[in-house]
Amino acid sequence: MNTNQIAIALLRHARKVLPQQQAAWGAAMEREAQEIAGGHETLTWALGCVAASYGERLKAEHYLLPLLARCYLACICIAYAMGHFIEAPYPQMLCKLFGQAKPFYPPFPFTVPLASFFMPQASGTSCYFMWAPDIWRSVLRVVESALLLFAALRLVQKRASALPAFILAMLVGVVLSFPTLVYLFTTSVSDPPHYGFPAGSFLQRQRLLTLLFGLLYPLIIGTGIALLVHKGDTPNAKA
Amino acid sequence: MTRTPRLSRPTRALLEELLAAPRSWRHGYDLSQATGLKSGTLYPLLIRLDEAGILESRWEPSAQEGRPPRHAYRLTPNGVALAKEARTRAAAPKLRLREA
Repeated sequence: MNTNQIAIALLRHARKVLPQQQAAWGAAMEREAQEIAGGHETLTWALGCVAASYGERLKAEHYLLPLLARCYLACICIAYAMGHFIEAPYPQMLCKLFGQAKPFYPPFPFTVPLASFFMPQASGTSCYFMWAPDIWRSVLRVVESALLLFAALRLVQKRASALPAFILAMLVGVVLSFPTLVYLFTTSVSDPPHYGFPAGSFLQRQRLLTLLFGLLYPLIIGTGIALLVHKGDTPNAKA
Repeated sequence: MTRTPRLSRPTRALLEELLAAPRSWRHGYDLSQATGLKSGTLYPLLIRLDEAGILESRWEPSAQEGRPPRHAYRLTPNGVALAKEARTRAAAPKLRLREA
């Protein structure tokens, strides 16, 4: 199957996905692809049309469905933000208090967002990067939380700025995760336990989970945000 | 007095391009090439503007024989007014700076 054939298949799919009342636009997208020389450009055109069609389908289904989807994604952003606020000071304080690196597991209600959204940053076992000053970690967490709360607000308001705010928050999260990732990916499974991490297969699982959750989850949420708020503004100038 | 909605950069770029020749019919791919907007950005904009009465569209016979018609677009009189207003608003802050 060559690029042109894939593009044609994608455009047909986009046409099917579009709402009934926008069927003509599907035909229009497909027709324009015939004017493109072919190859990579046609495929890019087709992929864009698929994204557009899914966005239109989401918006057209019902007013309630996009609103619910936006609120759900906003809740995820808020959970991320609250998780950061909760985790920011405690591990460092407890490690210093007990003089040892012991894993810290917050009480029950807080473990829910932490377990769901915090795998990339190994929540509660962050004592292993004690070499970095506490203040910058806390500052970064506050910054990331603020960005996520802003993204959640803009998401509910259906503003395009929700997406860049979310992406920026994830980039701050990458900076925060960097010591974790360096430790996890440079430590051999045969190394003795460090800072509360048991050695062996746990490290291996942690690495895989870190990579999986760290990459997939923000990608899924970011895509959802992009579809729901991007290009959402419409000047209303009907006569 | 109706509040003029804020326009995004892609919307302004599209309106500006259509305003360059307001009575001419333009096709989707031509607009994409002229504005730099990808299809995923362009078509939702075209749909929104069409629904808002800023744009009108029609099917034009293809210049090449044997090919199906192409969808073409141009600004309505309302659209021309909006595009001109958007252009003025975009230019206004720069003028103020120069005066200072």
